[in-house]
Amino acid sequence: MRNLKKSMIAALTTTMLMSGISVPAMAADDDGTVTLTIWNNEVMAPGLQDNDVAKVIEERLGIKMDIISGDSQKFSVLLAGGDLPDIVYSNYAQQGVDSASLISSGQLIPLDDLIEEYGPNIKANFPVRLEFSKKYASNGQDKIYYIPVLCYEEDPEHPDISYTIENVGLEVRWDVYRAIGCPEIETTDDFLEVLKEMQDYARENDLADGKQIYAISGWSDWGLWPWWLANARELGWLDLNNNVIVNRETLETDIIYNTDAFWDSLAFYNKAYNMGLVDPEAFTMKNDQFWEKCHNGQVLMTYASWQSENMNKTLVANGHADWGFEKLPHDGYPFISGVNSTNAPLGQGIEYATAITTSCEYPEKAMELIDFCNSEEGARLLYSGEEGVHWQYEDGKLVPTEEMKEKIKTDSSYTTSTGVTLYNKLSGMRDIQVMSDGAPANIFLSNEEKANNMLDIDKDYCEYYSEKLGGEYLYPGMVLNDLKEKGELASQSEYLLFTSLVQNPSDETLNIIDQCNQYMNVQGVKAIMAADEDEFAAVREEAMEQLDAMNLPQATEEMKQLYDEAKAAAEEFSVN
Amino acid sequence: MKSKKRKVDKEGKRLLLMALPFVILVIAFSYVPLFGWSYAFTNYRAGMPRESIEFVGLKQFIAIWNNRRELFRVLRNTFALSLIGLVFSPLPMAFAIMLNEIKSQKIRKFVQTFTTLPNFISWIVVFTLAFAMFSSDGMVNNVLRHFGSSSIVNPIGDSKHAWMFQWGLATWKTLGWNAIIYMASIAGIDQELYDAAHVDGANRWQSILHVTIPGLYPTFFVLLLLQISNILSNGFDQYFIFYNPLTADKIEVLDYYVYKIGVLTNNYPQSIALGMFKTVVSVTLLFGANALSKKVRGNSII
Repeated sequence: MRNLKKSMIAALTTTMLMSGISVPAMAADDDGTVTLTIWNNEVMAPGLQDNDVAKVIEERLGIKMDIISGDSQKFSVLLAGGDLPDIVYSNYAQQGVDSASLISSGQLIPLDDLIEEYGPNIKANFPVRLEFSKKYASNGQDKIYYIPVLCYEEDPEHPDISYTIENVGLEVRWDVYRAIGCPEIETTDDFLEVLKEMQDYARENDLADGKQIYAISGWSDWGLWPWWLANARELGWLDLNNNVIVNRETLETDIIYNTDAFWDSLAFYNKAYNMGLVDPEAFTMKNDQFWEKCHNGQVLMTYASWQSENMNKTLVANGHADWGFEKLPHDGYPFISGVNSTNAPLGQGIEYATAITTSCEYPEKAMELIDFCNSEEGARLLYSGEEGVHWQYEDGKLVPTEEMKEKIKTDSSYTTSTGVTLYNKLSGMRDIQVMSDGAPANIFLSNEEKANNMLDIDKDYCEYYSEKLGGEYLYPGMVLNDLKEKGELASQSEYLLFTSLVQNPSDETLNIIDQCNQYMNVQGVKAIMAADEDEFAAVREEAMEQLDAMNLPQATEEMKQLYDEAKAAAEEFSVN
Repeated sequence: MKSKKRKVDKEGKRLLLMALPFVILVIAFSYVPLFGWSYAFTNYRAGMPRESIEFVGLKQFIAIWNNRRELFRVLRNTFALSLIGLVFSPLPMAFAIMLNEIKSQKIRKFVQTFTTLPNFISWIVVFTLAFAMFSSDGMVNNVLRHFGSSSIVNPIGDSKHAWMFQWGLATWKTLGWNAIIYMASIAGIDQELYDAAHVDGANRWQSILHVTIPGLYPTFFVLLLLQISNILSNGFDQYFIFYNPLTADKIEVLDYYVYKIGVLTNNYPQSIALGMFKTVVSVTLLFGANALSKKVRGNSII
């Protein structure tokens, strides 16, 4: 009978798991350890965490982390059913629910008292973000629902120089560019010609073992992301929430579809398409297939440093140490985005800001965890791992242990096995934030460590420019920084406070923008595939007519008004 | 007389009791959810507490109408794909007849099993297979390259042939499965009819034409009527998996559109309004086809 009961419970649990019904997290263990469910889409192995970092957190705080991840559908279902994890963050693009709706759902708890009692580090580090949260992210309730994360205070004397660039920008296969003699590029048309030459060279020399090679590829499951974002940044625009972009020089804001920056970006790929440079499968593939093609040597351009840096490491692991993507100092666009890191006293603003939900049985423990992640000790653990295991002091300097160095070189999934840099979105500060001991939170991002971890392809890039420009470069970003300081390259990284002070738009406007996005995901590709300039212009005209019919002008007006109000608010809001 | 009536009552009650659980299930799962239609008249968004939900009248229906260009495009695709299906609806019947004519039972069973199996393969696996076959480095293009062709065949991203490609995939997947019901019907045709035809000098082809096909008419027409009532429901999985910007114009069907409006743009009330529209049209089509069948053939399913 007892066995039958056990079997029935097991069968029921299995059925619940298989049918996607969430099994409530276990309550406190006998030793007082509690399990907290945490929404996070960056952890590749969700579920109960048992890596090195998670174990330290469990020992230090008595908290087991159970990571829940998923897409916007899953988040909406959890929200509608009142089953949100204990700790969530706000991200409209990922979750399909904006921060204001999360508050109005009544499923977030005000954190003021908890911070007062359990949040000394939250109060001490970047306190201005709490004022921001009260004023701009509480639906006018003047309470703290969200704690902004990833704050960064730059040192104007020693600005952080990115390893290559910070985040988004077009990068090309350096080895192929070098093989064709590093031709000069002055305009975007020159850039396309160079890409054509690179493609021809790669095909003639069969660099992908007989597989088709294209200079440019992409993926379809992120909408038009590959086809405008990097280009718009290099045209001097910064992408913000809800498809708004801001011109960094004039501070003009608009919804992307109304701007020339967006259409010029598409026009660049349209020209490339008609030159035979765009992989026809770019519009049908999924994101992981794009990565696979890059790893196979079938693609010669990427769109972000986090793609290139990851891919370069994989290429080394695959036996192609001489292959790799780098940022060319000049690719015909006027700007390079992110040679230095942008100041961020309010962190990412409402984006990824942490909140505790009413589902949480142990809000004080949740606050303890959040506060720990907002401390220097917590940030060091999240970004660099445990002292003695992943890093150590050597002659007064923080350096990785031999074991960790070996792991980074040999284990491409070391972040999952160690937990290092896996929970960044919980951290109150950025990885490059220099802490009181003089080292960045992520010790691997000190200049010395960047230089120590250079790949062969990065060395080749630095040597080439060292010979050409006469400087001494420890890693690729230093080449770009040197050119920037000499005035030979333009980069923008000024902090725009008002972009964080924008109130949430109305549901109707969000809905209009969402519908326009869905429409443009198709129409944008049509524009890229237009046979010539006339057809491109016709597609653009048709798109604007349809966007008008979908009430885009109405949404634009509201968004512009919200940004104008934010600009006025920024005059009064001091981050110092 | 009285006792006979009582017996009938008793029998009727017993039958009613037997049917009751199923009636309750139908009410619970088919009628109670209709309460959800009320959300089509509100401004609901996921997570919104009940007290904040406002009645907005026909706003969602008006929004659908204002965006009718999109709706008409989606309806065109839905009808086109369904009509292609309707035109080729005798295919499973023809396949079943051909299978039935195979003399060797071993070969017949093998072909039947082989063609039925794809029905159990999920659409995501079908997509993976299709991608492996038709990608630029896939089997088909490799063979074409081997024979000196420089052009690449990519039906997954080919808008011109999207309808026929999708129909081909669906047919490959379901032909064997859909033939089962006809195989059963053929088995039910009186053998004496074949014997009589044989005595009258009919050959195999004439037997098929004058005995098998007329014997399958009732099954065919019932399935056809059901297919007509489902003309707006040509499935979601297939088009969800194969959806991409190149073919979206052609394969975005009503079910996918409802998903897009509801889940991708978080406008649940409008997606419910679309669902209501679909139900009304489907019910109208079913009764229309039923009435037509009654008039033309003299019998119907309702």
